[in-house]
Amino acid sequence: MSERRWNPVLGEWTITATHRQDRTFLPPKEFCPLCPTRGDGPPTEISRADFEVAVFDNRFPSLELSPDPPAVAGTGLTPVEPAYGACEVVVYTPDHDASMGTIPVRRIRQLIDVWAHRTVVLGALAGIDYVYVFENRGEAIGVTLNHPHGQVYAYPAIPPVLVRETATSRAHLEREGTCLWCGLLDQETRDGHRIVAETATWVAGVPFFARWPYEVHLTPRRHLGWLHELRAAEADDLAQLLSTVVRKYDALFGFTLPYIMAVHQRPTDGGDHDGYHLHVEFYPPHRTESKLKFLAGSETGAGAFINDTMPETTAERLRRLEPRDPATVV
Amino acid sequence: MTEQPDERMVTDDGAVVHQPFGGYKIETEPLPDGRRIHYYSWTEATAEPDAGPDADPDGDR
Repeated sequence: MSERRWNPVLGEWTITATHRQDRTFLPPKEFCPLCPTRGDGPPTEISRADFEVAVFDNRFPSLELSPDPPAVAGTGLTPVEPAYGACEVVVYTPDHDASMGTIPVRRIRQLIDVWAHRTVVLGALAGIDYVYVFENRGEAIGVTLNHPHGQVYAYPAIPPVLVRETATSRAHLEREGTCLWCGLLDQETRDGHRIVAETATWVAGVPFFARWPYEVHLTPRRHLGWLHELRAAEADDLAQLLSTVVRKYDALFGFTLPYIMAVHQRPTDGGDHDGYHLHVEFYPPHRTESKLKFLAGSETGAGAFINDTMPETTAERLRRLEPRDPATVV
Repeated sequence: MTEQPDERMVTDDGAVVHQPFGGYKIETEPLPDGRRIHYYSWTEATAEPDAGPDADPDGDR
């Protein structure tokens, strides 16, 4: 059963998806559903023996293009809607043991093409207001499959974080006549203390207001809203910078660092979002090699993040790190 | 979307080479339970050299 329930207190939707309780949970490698089907092995989601990048509808979706009716009736105060939308899985490679930090830059570049295309395809569907590309990596984040993959969610409403970001960017544009992210980028590149790596067309840095100790945002120098608007050189640079940042993460504590990667693009609702600026955010949960940052009382109960580190310090550490050489991964 | 997909983009039904992202094709197949899977592949002619992660380790240009 799956449905959207309106929370009138916070002004946002909660998705219920009870069938996801039964989804495949950390299967052994020989039963990985994202590996290619082998001759003598069990059938997987991928019938081909080899492929480059594969995208398929999630077997346990939170949102569906043909959703069942809600299991409960809504009220005027708490409306209920079918869980309309789409949930896709993007498999990065047939190699079960690979990761964003070990696949070639060329493959990351191809993934950018795929993310851009899925955004266009799903964003063009009636009633899809936002397309969200993301990756959960590592068991500390809660992944249920270790095979390298990401996801694409197509939402019927702009999700809460993006509602806030689009509102602040619109207000800044109306007040200042400029893009909020362009202003931040100008400030950060002039200051330099929080820059982690950069290319001719993209900048990666720990934000001034980082919520997570090793949070990094990647921002294009040119003002644009969607991945499909990237020029070839910009897409090349993004692929290179994604590889660099992730391999720095993997060098940080000597293991493949868990993270959430969130690609923030403009909504697809047809609204005025000219002030919104494409960017990619990484949130690793580790604050030390052995300690995790938990979303506890202040963060979860009050929405007020407390960062135990100085962004200038973590940025310097990441900046000085040599990205991990994939050849050294065992 | 507020901006229509331009000629660079391809559809699920066929392979369209577009610029400046380079060419790729998509083959869509049904899964046994009715879901769909899309295989993205890049042709030799349009594939870029595999620089590998070490080509520019610091991301500096």
